[in-house]
Amino acid sequence: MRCIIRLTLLEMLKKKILYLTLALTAIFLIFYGIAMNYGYDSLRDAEPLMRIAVSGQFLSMGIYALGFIVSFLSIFASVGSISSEIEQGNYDAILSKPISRYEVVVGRYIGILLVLIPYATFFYLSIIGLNLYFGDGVVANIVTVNILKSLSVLYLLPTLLTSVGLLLSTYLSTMGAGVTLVILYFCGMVGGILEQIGHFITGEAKVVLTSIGITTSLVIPSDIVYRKASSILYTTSSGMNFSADNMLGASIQPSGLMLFYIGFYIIIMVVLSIRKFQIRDL
Amino acid sequence: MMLETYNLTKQFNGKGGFKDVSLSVREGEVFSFLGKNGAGKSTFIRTLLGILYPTSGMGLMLGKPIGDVETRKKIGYLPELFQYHTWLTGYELLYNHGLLYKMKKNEIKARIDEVLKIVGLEGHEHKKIKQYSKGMKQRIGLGSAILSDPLLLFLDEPTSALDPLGRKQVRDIIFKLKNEGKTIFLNTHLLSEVELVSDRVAILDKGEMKKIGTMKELLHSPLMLSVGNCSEKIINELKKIDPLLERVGNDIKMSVERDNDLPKIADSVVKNDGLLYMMKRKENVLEELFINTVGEEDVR
Repeated sequence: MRCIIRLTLLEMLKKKILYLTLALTAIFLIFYGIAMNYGYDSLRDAEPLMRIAVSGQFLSMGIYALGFIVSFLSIFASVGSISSEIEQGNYDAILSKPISRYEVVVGRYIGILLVLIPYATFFYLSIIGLNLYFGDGVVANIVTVNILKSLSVLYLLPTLLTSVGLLLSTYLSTMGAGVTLVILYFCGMVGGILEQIGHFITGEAKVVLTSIGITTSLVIPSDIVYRKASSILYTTSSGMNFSADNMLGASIQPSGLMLFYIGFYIIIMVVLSIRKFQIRDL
Repeated sequence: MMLETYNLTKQFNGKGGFKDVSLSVREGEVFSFLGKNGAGKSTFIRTLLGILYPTSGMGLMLGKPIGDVETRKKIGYLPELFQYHTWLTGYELLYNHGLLYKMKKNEIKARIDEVLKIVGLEGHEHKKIKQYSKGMKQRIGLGSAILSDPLLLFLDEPTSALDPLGRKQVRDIIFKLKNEGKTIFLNTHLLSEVELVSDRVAILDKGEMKKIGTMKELLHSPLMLSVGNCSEKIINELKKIDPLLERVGNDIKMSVERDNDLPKIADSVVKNDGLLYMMKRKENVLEELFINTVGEEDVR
C-alpha cells in the first residue's frame, strides 16, 4: 500500500499539480490580504456592531473560498483516482504484482488526503492569520481552541468528498464521476443555502426549504462540514456566536450527531469503493 | 506444472473472451499461444493474473489458485500495450515496480542495473517514459516483467512494437531466460517468432483452443528435394525412408521426422548418379498450420 501512496504523491509532484495549486493559492492570498488590509482599516472608526458584522463577512468570505477550493481540489483529485488508471490500462502492470486490490483503493485515498489535508491546513491558517493580523482590534475575539476545532472539522471536507469521488471512480469513467460529484456537491451547497434561507422565513415555505436542506445534507453532507467549521470558529469564549446571517453564514448550527453521520458516511464510501474495485474486471 | 487450467472460461455477457481452455505449462518450457487479434489470448493471460475474473473453470499457477496475490511475487508480466505512468523516468518506474514486488531497496537498485543491461536501456534510465520510443517503452516493460527474477513469465506480444534488431534482442532475452530455467508463456501472432523460440504451441481461435502440442507434434515439416537425373532407382531408395513420398518431375516431397536421416538421403541420391540441387525443409509450415486451423478467410 505504501507504494501506491508513494506513487499518488509522486504523481501530484511530477505532474506539477501541487506547485500550480500552491502558486495560485499564494496569488489568492495576496489579493485577499490586500483586501483585508484596506477593508479593516476602513472599519476602525465604525460602530462596534458594524465592525462585528463586516469583519464576520470578511472571515466568512475567506473560509467560504477555502471550502470551495478545497472541495474542488478534492473532487478533481479523486474522480480519476481509479477510473483514469483503468482507462489508461495502468492496472495491468500494477495488479500483476503481489498487491491486493484493497491496497490500491486505500493507498490512493490516503495519498490524496496526504496532499489535501496539509494544503487545507496551510490555507485555513493563512486566512485566519490574515484576518487576525489586519483586523487587530476589529475582529471579534476568536478563540485558539475554536480555530483548532474548526480546522479539525474542516478536515472532514476533503476526507468526505475524496471518499465519494473514490467510490464514483470505481463505478464510472473519470468524466462521468466528475460530472456526478460536481452536481452532487452543488446540490449539497444549494440545499445548505435553502436551509439558511428557511431560517429567516416562516410558515410552510420554512418547512419545505428546511426539509430540502436536511435531505441534501444526508445525501452529500459537504455543506454541513463547512457550516459546522464556520460555526465553531465564530463562537467566542463567552459562548456567543457571531456567524454572519447570510447565505455563507452558519446561523443554523449542524448538530454534533451530524458529524458522526459524516464519519459513518465516509467509512461506508471507502468500504463500498473497495468492494466495487475488488469485484470488477479491469 | 507451472500452470494448469481446467475448462477455464471468461466471457463478457456471454460473448468474446475464451471458452473451456484446458492446458498445462511445464517448468522450463517456452509455451506459445497463437491466435489472431481478438482470439482471446490477452484475455486469457489477464484472467490468469487476476486482472479479469473467470466466468467458470479453474486454474492453478505455481500450484496456487489463479489470482493468488502472493504467487505474483514469482510472476513477471509484460502487457500487450505496456502502459505506465509516463511522467516517471525509466529508473523510477523500475524502482516503483520493485517496491510493488515488495523487494528490498538495495536489492531493487542492484537488480535495476542488471535489468537495464539485459533490455539494452543503459543510459536512458533517467529519461521520462513519455520521451521513450515505442520500442523503448516495450523494453522498459520487459525490464519490469523480469525485475523480480520471476519463475514464470507472461509476455503478451513482446515484439509487436520493435524493429528487427529489437525483435532479435527480445528473442535473445527469451533464450537467455529459458537457459536459466525460466518458464515463458508467450502470446503472439508472429509465427516466425514462435518457430524460433517455442517448445510447445497452442492455437486459439474465436476463444476456443483448436490445437496444442510440441512443435514437432504439430508440424510435420516436409523435406523438399530437387534432383537432376532422378531415376526410379533413386526413388526406390528414398521410398525406403518415406514410402509415401510425392514426386513431380525432378521435385520430390518427403516426410522425414529425424534429421539423422538427411545424410542418408543425400547419399542415396548421389550414389545413384543423381544431382542434388536442393534439399531443405519446407518453410512457413507453421503459417500453413495456423491458416488451416483458424481458416484462411478469417485470417484475411
